[in-house]
Amino acid sequence: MMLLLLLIVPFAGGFLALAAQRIGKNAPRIVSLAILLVELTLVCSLFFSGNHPIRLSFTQEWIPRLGISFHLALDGLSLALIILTAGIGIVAIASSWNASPRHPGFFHGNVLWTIGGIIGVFLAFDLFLFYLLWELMLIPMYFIILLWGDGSSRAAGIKFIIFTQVSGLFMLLGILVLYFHAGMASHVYSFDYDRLVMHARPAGVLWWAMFGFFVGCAVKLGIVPFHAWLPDAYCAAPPAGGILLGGIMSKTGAYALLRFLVPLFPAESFSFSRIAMVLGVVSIIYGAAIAIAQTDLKRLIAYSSISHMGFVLLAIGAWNEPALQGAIMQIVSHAVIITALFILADCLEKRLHTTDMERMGGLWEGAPRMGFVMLLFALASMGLPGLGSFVGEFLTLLGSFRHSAVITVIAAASGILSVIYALSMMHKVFQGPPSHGRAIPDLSLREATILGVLSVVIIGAGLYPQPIIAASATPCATLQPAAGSASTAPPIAGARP
Amino acid sequence: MTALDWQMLLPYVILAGAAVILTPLTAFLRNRSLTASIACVAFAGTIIACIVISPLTPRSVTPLFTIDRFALYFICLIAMCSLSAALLSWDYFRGSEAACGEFFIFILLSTFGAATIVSSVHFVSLFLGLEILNVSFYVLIAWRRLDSGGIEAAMKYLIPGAVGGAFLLFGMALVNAELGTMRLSSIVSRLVAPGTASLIVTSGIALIMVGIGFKLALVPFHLWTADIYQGAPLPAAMLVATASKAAVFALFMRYFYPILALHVFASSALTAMAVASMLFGNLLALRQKNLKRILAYSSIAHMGYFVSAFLGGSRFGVIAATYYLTAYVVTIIVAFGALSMLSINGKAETIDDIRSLSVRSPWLAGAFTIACASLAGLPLLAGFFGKFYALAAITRSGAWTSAVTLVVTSGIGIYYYFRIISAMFERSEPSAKEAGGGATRGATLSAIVLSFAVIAVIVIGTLPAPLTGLIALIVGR
Repeated sequence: MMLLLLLIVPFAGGFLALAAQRIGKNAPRIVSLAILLVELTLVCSLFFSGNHPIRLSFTQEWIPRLGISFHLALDGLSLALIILTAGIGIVAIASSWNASPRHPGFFHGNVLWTIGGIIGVFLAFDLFLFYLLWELMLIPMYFIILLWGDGSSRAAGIKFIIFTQVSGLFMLLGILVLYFHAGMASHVYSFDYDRLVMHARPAGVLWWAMFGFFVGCAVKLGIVPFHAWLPDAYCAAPPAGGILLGGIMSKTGAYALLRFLVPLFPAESFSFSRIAMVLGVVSIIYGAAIAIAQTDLKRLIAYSSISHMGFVLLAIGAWNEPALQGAIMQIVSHAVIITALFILADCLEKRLHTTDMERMGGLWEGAPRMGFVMLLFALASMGLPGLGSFVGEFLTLLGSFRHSAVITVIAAASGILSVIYALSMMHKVFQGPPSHGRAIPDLSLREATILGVLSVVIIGAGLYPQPIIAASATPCATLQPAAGSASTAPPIAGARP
Repeated sequence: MTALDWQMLLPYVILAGAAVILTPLTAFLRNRSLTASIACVAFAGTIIACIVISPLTPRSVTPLFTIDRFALYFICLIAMCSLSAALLSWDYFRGSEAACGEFFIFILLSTFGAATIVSSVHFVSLFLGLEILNVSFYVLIAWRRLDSGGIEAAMKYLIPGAVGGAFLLFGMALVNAELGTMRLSSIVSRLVAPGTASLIVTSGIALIMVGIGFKLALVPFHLWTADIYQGAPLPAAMLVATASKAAVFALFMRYFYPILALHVFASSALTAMAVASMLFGNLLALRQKNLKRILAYSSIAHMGYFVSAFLGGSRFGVIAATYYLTAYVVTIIVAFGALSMLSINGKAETIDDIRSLSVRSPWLAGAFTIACASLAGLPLLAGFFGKFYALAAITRSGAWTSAVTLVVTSGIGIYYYFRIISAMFERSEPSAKEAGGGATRGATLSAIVLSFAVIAVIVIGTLPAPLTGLIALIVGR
């Protein structure tokens, strides 16, 4: 019941926010903030309720003819990601507090529906339900990009929806192949995760099913051959939309890989793992290299996101305990980093009416606090020890080294590229000769509070990552044997001596 | 003909009787509202009659008809389309010289024709039903006598209709010459038996497939579709899109289902037609500016989806195709309902006409968005589950070409559906207020139809279990 509530609150809240527009211009954002606080309280109450490891489940028949049920379940991994989603959602709404969008009710409704869809993806344990929510979150997101984005939002929105829809259908094809394959073997046709996980028999066609599923995840993550929509969508979206897209929606791709792809297609994904790791490294290098060349702040952030998601794919490809913990750390810290960077970009855009870094420079003088926060997150972006992203990248590299030394060395060496783009971003915006006649006002109290919270989180995650690792350790341990059991050799055995 | 036989024919009696009574009544009384109400009562009566007689099925009535649940389901579906078309046309024609009662009589007749097709078990009744349907459509499409576009559309429907009919007749003649029977069920059972695949029978089946291809507008027999949709009055175009296709598709599913498994020729030809329909329908829609032409090409693509869902040759595929067809019909009622409400007070021809519609009339924009989103297959709408079911049926049969074509062409489809949506939600410019298709007043009946259809799209999209259960029941076997 609790899980159903977690799903209903944001969706119903969206309609509430829509209706609240009648009361006043500010009502929708107050309502949606309250809704997300309720959601956060609910998840946190689950977290602090004591009995770990958490494993809740809710099942309701839906379309019995096809073996589709409304099956929700929650474990440590889902819990951590839902807390992250609700938290980032609150930040997204708070960060655009002063912006007054047209139709504030519809805007906040869409924000809440997107968040609801994302939370649903983290809860769904029926593959049909998962696919439905996976697609559902795209529509409000499309409207956010289309209606409240900048000039290029129409093209960016169409590109976003076509990429995600087509990849989603490929994912559905993969799910259906698995469904019929498992159904014909066991004579029980069901989309239920727990049942499909038991079916782990290698077959030629399942490799393609796995690949279809992978395409669906890779598009949301923004992995390199599937990333073309990402920079446009990130930049065209309004600030809150960019935070939702980069901060949490991209994480559903990582989650789907962790939760569904590898456990459901163990043998196939094992044979694919080398390709996945290579794609991960290519994304790391490509994203960072293109980020260096950007003159637009938001595009730079978008490409750096591709690079960071490459680390997540690398970790999932390696699939051993340190790597998986690294992936989860990377997911959490990247969500915080990209949120903070988008907020900073928005602060700059509001003050300067541009995100073109060529027209910035020397801003430290007038806005030292903003500069300091930017420096902190630029350092986090390049993985400085002591910050959350370092833990993630370090664990990832540690795990992938067992798998392939060459790939790990290349990935580690490409870290220098992130230093270049992060520092050149810092340099172009805050250092150098002031190109913008007058000094800009520093962070307001609201902006400083939001960014302060995010800074505390990223530093906390770097100095004391234990809670996040602990929350995800149990699921990591349960996910792992699921993969190892059926494959010809457990992934770790693939490591070179 | 026993009393029970007459009882089984009740839906037909109601439809034909209403048409016969209304013809003199309309000619002498010239009371449009009376004709319209009697016609609507007849449609409602047909649906009720279908429900009432469904426990008595299946039963053969004369050598020409078999009334079973499958037929009754489709008669209900067709009658609902006709009822919606009748209600929409009430508002659509009001105030114009075309506003006269005879339109409703022709809707009744076309419904009668379509209902005849779905229950016919004999070439004679099949052909009669098809011709009744066609002839009433010629009139419905050319309803605006002074509108050259409508006349042109009717001519363009007449010629492919006649050509398709000729192909169908010739095919029937060949099959009859070789097999010596005109009963569809015995033809099918003889075809299924080994060693009957002579050249004459095969060419007969090929000709019948061409005829059906014309009716379903499968590529390469699709050329007439876009012009009809564009030129015909909206309620008539809606009937062409829904009732006629549902009827022919029902017949097609019923009799091609057993043949497919054995005749490699028939199934591979149909696969090729379905794949081509998905591809060309979606590709041709990309560059269109006219909304009705977009809907026309999208209907060609959808026919490709239905046919490939059903081609697996299994019961699963028939259920999937029937579900998707139902979802599509309901969605099309929403689309045409919204368009017809828009064109009452203005123009709703091209995408430019509905720019910033969300500012002028948010409810209509919402309804049309739901129609487009359902056609595109977005979640929680009827089209989503339809596409899911179709893809499941295709996957089940292992037709990978069709599956990948469906996925890729759906992506192409997203572009034009979302082009419409993004145009409707475009930020308003000062001049947008002056553009046509503003808030509609005095279209209560259309509004009722539209709201019911929108609710149906959402309900069968979120809770598809009852409908799939019903369809599994009617498909039986």
